[in-house]
Amino acid sequence: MDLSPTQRQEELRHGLTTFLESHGRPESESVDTADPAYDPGLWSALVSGGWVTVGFPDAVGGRGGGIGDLVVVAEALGRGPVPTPLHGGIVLCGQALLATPGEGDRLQALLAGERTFTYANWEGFEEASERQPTVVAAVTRRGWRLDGQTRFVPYGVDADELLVMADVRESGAQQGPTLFAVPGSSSGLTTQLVPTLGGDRWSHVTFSGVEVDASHMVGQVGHAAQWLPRVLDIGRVVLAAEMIGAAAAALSHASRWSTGRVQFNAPIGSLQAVQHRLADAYIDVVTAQDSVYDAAAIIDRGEETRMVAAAAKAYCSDACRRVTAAAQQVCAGEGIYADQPLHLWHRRIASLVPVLGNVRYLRAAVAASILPG
Amino acid sequence: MTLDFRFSTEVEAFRDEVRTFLDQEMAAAETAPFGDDDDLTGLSEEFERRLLRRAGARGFLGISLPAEWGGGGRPAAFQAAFNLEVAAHDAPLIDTAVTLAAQPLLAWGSPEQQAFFLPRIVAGELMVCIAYTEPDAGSDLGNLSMVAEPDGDGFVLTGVKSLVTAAHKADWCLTIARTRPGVPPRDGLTMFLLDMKAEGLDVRRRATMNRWTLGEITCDGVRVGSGAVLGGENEGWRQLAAAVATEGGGMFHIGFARHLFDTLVTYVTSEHGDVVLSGDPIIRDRVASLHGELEVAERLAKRAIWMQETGRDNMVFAAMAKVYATELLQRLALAATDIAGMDGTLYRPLFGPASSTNSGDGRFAWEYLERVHGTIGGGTNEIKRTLIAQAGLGLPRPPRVA
Repeated sequence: MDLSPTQRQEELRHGLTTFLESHGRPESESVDTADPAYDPGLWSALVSGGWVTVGFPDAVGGRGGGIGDLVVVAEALGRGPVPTPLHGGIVLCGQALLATPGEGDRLQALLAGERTFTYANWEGFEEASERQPTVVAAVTRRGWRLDGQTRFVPYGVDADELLVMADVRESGAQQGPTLFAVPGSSSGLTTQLVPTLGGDRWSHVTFSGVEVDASHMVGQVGHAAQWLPRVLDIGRVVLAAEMIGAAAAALSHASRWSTGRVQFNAPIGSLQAVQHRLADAYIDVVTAQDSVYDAAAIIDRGEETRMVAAAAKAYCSDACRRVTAAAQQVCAGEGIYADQPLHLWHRRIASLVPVLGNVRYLRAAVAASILPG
Repeated sequence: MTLDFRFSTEVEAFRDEVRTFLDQEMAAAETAPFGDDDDLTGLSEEFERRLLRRAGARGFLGISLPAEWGGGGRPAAFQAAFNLEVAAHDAPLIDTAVTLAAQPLLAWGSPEQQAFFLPRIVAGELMVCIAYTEPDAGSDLGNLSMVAEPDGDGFVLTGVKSLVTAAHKADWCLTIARTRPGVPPRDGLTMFLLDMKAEGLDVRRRATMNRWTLGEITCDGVRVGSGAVLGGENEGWRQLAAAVATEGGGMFHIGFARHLFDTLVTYVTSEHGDVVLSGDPIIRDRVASLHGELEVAERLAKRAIWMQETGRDNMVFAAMAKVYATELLQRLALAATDIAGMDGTLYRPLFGPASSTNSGDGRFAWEYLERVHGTIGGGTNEIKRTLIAQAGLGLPRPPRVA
């Protein structure tokens, strides 16, 4: 048993926090405007500075370290909160390219910040029974033709390339999930930005006879099934890490507020009703943190990831939402204003909860590990 | 080193040793003749004392106490692993002598007291009960009213202590009384070690809703010598605050919770009539949720232990671990009785004769009654939450009411 952070983790936490402070926090109100809080300039600085390429080996252009280091980065971004394409743009796409032989060029371009990527339509392939694949690839003389629609692609309108999972049909037979790198500017591809409560740049994407040549296939036909579960699990832990950063920041904010706010001649933070609610929020924060750190360590040890990743994200989804609910209640009227930061953490967590599986779906995965059929 | 919540291989090896010992000692054939519903352990004093001595002989008691007193001198994780297995086996080794009396004796005991008590405690030869609470002073120990009046070179104790675990069978009692009238309690309390056979000391057993009894100790002019004082005269307030803060029994709750969870999983995966409940998505969701919470509770308890082991102040985390685990136990017991329907109301004391009705076997109802007191004893969860908020989050203390 050793629960102390490594020196590398301490340095990442401190360094990134300082870096983000020098860039300022997003304007509270901008999250609701036509141009969301996402700052493309900050994102490319995070990539070129090597802050978000943690967890990828030096040899492919990453900063090295493991998932245990990556969650420290995600937590610091959540603490801002700094909305970024972290989980979709770097973690999922990068881990998929890393797991696929012969994808060094695309991976280097991604980690160097030369091209931006996002993922589309992956979750539908995790469990065949869960959802039907909605994008289909058919063989053409030159390569492949993609048809179908996929919803909720993160930063889909911004990405240079979409890594889309398609069901390959050859002679009418399903060949398994196959990944294609499709340029965002492809003819027949349309992206539509959709408004969400988190103010993230989610898009719906339609493929209408999008033609790509054979070089756009990532790996081999049906190959994606080999790495997909593990990569999605890494993504889940990173999402949970962003949530714990946001929850911890919301709790600090509420603690500060309740210490300074005086009613009935006493700081409200001295009232038992407030103290006990925030004590519970504190328990939620530290237990959610440890569930993320433990899951990341288990991934780094190369052990089975399915149950721990699902359990961590399910628990963090519930615990972190309890924390922001408590923070909102304690900060009362002042906390509901858009010019105050509290809603940014509240929204950030709520918007991450359903990504890569909501609580119901994740608990079903946990149940499958401990209960037969 | 990177973060790792697993016990080390040395701790796991020790845990295996304990498990093997308890599998043997707690086998149904061994315990069956000794069932005693009136005792918190569910077993007779004869069985308990025998097991204590056997555990002591194996070096299992006081595994983290200093070797000079016969303890194991091992890091806190060894004690934690022991506690986990003891609780999971329902073994009567959750003994207040080692868990609650040893630390105050180490910290404040005179050389004579340490030489008398500590070797006997680790040998399993002595039972020591803890009597701090009084009928009018539960969480508010500033309100204590037992008096110890100076009398020659000693004291005479008069008053009542309540909610004392194992008082009826203990050999000694660690208690606290007022030694200076007319001063605030923080300046006038002293800790004492009482021989339970002392003249004027009486124990009344009072049954709880789960049948077993707690003790009410009445001292009617109990005379003790100056050697009965533990630590400094009038230092009791400070000593008690430290003793309560370092209470490290968090792993017992995890052992109980694992046992109950495993029993629940067995229940929902077995056939009842022609139904196997684990096919129901609502039950699967609930069991998965409880499983996640059990893992959370264990990590939290382990973090508190790791902090203790590495010399960090773990007061806030120990409080969190206690709050979380005791409330999880209530949720587990509620879920088990709820899921089992009428079977969940079947009641059987821990070591009563087995029924053949189902795998829950009367355990769920027993648990449902048993898990009520966890959130109350050892400092109520409300007291703990106040501590977490003030010491952990730095929230202000309430203004003093005049």
